[in-house]
Amino acid sequence: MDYRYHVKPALCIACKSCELACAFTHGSQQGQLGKSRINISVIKEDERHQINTPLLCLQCDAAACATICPSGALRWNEDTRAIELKNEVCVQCRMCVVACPFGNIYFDSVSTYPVKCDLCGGDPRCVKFCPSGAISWVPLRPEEVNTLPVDEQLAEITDR
Amino acid sequence: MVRLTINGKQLRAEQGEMLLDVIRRLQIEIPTLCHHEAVEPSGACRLCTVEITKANWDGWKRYVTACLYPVEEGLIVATHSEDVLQIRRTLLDLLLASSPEAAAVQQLAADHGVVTSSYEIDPEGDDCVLCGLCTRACSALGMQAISTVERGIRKRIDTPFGTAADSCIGCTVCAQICPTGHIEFEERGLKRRIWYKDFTLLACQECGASLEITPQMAAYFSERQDLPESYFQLCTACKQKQTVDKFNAISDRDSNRILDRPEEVY
Repeated sequence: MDYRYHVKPALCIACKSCELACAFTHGSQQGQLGKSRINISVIKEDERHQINTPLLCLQCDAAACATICPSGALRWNEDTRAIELKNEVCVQCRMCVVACPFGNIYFDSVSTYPVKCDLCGGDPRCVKFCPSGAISWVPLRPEEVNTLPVDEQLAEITDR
Repeated sequence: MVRLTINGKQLRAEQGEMLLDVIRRLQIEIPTLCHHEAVEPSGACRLCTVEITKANWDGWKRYVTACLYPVEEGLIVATHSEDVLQIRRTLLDLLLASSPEAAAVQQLAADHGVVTSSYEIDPEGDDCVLCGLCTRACSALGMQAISTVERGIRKRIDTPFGTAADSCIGCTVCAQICPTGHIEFEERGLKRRIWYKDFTLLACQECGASLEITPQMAAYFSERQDLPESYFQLCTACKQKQTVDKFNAISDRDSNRILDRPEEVY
């Protein structure tokens, strides 16, 4: 069964629990925070209203990051369904950071490697810590699987 | 599949696999300077030297670089025998004399109990250990802008004739991958200078922030990896803004608008 993130901006209260969960999960064993791979965008519309959108790697089927990687460090992991970055193979050229059409790969200046969502090994921690259900990790029915690159899918939807 | 023994532990490995990969898979720590999984192994630093023997070798042993030695049926490997450790200590002793200031060398040497070199310190020694990882990475990416030049004690890494190389795209992979951090480059704002060559970095078409890649990189990698150059126009923050707009267009922006200060409602 294939899984997808389901993001509902309407439910996000920008509490940043997901970011903390991610930073702790990808931090050191001594409790040092790692760089979060999920980021809540907060847009203040006026004095009283704002739009919160959790942004995280969509694990594209035909991913720009994996395509551009010149050393093959970004690979699809069949078990976890994540595109994973293997630091041992990465040459730190940062092409993936620029290539991601959604801005979901970050460069971690501490480790000097790019970081991206690895789905916490197939069971994303951010989802577990989201108190409002703004992000969920849901099974996808086979007939729903769209093999177009995600940016093209989005363009299709928004052009409609 | 071949069967072999590493530090007394029997295991199976794929035909053609290198010893180092199998050893590291067993979580056995083995020092290397010139090894990187993105490039072909070359056995330059020789720190991954291990002891091999076989049951029918009559007690004879060989010392081989694990990164270059393919697994063999019946191989018996020792990764930390006293002889192997002595070889590594000697190598680090020598490296410490030729690259006394290199932090990575100092650390590895200290880990092996070598604090000061027993050889005469090279007064002109720099951090380069001549492992050639930078030149192999440059070649692996298809540029070949740098290579080792001259011979013997004058051997060093440089561009052809010590001038700006046409083939250099300013990717700084050589500097990032260098195990001792010897290769330097300057970056200020949108300017980058490496190997005598100046580059102007790409800027975000929306906000003007640096994308931290050169136009030459965008052109070269987009062709090599078959991804349109249009992917290299915006910075992370601006792409995130676009993504937010798309998400909200799909799921009806009006219903996503929430109250910033809900306490005012009550």
